[in-house]
Amino acid sequence: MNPTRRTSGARLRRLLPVVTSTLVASLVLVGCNGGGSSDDKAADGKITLTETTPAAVGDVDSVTWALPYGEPRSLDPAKTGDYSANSIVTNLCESLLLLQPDFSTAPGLATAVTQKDPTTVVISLRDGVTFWDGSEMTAEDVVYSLKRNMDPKLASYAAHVFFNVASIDKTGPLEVTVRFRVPDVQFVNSMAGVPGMIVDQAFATKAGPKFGTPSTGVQCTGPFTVGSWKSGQNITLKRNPTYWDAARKAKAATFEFVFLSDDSTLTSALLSGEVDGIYGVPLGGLAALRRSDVGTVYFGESTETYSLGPASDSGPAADPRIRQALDLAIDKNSFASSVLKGTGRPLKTFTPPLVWSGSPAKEVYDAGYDALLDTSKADLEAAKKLVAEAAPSRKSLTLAVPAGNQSLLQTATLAQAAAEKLGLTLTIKQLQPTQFGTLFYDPAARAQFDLVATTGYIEVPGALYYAPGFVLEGGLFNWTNYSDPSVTKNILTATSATDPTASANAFVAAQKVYAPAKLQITLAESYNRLFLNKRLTGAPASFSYISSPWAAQVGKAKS
Amino acid sequence: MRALLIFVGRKLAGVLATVAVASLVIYGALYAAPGDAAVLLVGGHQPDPAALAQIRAEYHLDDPFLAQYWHWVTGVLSGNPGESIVVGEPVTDLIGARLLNTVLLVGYASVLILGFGVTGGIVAALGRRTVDVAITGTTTVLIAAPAFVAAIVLIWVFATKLAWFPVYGSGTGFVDRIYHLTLPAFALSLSYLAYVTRITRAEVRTALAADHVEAAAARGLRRRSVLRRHVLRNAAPPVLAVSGITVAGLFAGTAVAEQAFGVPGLGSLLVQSAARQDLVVVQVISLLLVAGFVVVNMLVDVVNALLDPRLLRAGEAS
Repeated sequence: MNPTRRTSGARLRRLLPVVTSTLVASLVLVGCNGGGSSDDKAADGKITLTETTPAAVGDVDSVTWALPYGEPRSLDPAKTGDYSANSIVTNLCESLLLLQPDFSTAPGLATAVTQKDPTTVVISLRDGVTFWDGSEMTAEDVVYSLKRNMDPKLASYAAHVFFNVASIDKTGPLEVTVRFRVPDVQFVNSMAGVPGMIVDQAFATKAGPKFGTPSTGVQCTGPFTVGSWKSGQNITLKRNPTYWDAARKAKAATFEFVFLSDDSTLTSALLSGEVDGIYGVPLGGLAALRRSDVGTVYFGESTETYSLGPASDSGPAADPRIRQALDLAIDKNSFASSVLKGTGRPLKTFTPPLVWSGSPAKEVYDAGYDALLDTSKADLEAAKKLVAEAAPSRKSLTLAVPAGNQSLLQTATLAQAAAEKLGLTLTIKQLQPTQFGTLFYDPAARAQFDLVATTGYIEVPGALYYAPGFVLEGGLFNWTNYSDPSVTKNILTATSATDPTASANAFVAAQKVYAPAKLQITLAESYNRLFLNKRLTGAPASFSYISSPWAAQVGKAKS
Repeated sequence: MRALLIFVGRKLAGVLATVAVASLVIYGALYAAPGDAAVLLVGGHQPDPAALAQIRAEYHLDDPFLAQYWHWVTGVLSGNPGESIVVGEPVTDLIGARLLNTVLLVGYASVLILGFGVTGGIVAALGRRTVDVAITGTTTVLIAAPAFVAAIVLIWVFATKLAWFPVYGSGTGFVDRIYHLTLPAFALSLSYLAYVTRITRAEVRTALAADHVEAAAARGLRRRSVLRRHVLRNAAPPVLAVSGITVAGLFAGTAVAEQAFGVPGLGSLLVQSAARQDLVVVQVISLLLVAGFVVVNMLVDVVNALLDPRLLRAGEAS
């Protein structure tokens, strides 16, 4: 794949899930870095992006996989919304649509999810799919699973996907219809992620609040079943022998996940072969792993981004000129090479190109992105001019950073240095997870801050993932009360257009207007970083692993 | 005998008082920590107020401090400290699954500290100058090496390069567990071990220089007998006291070693739970670690008193 090709961008939109993860544990924030090289051995060699690793040639007995963000808290899809949980649960429970390495979608548990009109989506279910216990997946299970996300008591991490839903009903033996209060074409895309996962109603109802816990587990249709969950130690998956799709049956008989959050231990475990693979290779161990002949480091397109966002509708950062000035003062290329160690690249806006790269309207999106102003190189003169023009009444800003996140702290330090050059004083404040999470829903908590540094990712396709939340009045992330009639009109057109090209055109027209306002100062995309022991292959190298049954593809490499 | 019972009784009362105060401090500290724990529990990006209220009620987050504290203490005392806010499993289950690993790790490290530390100190004090210099030099390096640095070096040399030991994990069954815990135990004990070596060496030196030792030597007693009956016996109580505090402190040190070697123990559970603001779990583990420290300390005092009955009387008098 051409390294200069940009990932389609659904980045900003993904901030929503990011927030979710932030609330959960700040795990997402704590450490997503994209990786950047393919299988070349030279650590200083150019990074080549790969979509997926070569297909496996046969089965293996067992695979040991490390989760650098630690043990998941639950296997319940409703509680799945960060790296660790997604890495496992996507292999257990399946979604209605299947996410492909290029972020396009294919039929999954549904043969089709069709946007019939702006407020109606029809889901046609696959016949003959069974849960692990042999019971058949029915339309009732689908209605139950989707509706679960709307239960405030359950507080599903996917609840935001269902905000606009009016009703979910069985309309045929294998058909479910979703109706919306407000048009939302992003919904179909979301069915390729955790929000579209189907669980067994009988099992989940019986398990109640214990659904997804180490002692109870889950009941789904995926290529792996839950073998065991030894709290603190490991989670072992077992191949589902009766999986419905013979072509995508799991290659490994058992797949063991271990929780290793110490970077140096992790690197040693990979180098010694005790652990076979990992997504999110620690940047500290990257050079050693790339030099090693134990396995291969792959780099892929990602939707993971680093950004600084304005936190309130007053103060210096609420002025777009100050944000533009900061954006111009930070050199994104040196950000990518210093903070991301070369495993990422500058982005022009909050929606990363990977999210639309599987769309039929990809060309429209790409052209829209290309037309955006490139501010990756620092331009201090222009930046100073903007500050002078804005003449802020206050020159001191406070930036909130989640505590313990080294890469975000480095990001904040870079921003601090850039601000100083503009005559602004930037104070960095590290917040504990609960405090940081509060920022995302409590305006009072945000009031004491001007900017927030976050990382985020988008786990499903669709350019409309972030934008509405940032640009519409009352949007979840519209913390500056941004409002522009033409943007509002175009975004509403985009979210209700059933024709992909019409939707893309409206989105691009809106983006052209809101992108320069820097509702997020987007610094870079960080590549997906995958390490595989040389005995294995098959895992996707792009960030699509976050929502697809990737572990089932991991098998024997050609020796 | 009566003196011993009184001594033990007083120490036990001290332990209880310390743990009681610690429980209040631990609970208070976490109560005062910023942020709203309920937010983490509900997830989602826009928590539902009703769901938040439900969680607050379930975990008594809105009660007055003392009521919350009392609720917690009675729960802990009745053996039911509640469920993890984050994982939803009983805290007793989470701790039970990890307790053995931590106890084994602390035990293993203690054996290393006492065995190598005391022996090393005696050898350094009594041996030739070259031996003394070698041991003193080594301990200087080791004292300065914190557990996480030791862990990195040990993993690099003995797990990655030589492949004698596994990089991470805790193994299954006793022998495999001990095998897996070898590197963590060394990482955990090295700096303490060096410290105990130094203390032992100094105490033995002091005892050697004492008048009665010189007198005993002058009277023509055999060197071995002098060493055993006068030197080591006199050096023992201070060495024991220092070792006791060191070993007791291991409980607190396990977090680093467990985290570095991926050993599922109380220390790594504490770190994980703290990161997730799983207050219920953090409170119980903190209390357990404090209790472990105080109890081991008490045992050391008792052993010391048995070795030197004068301590019993001193305790009575004070």
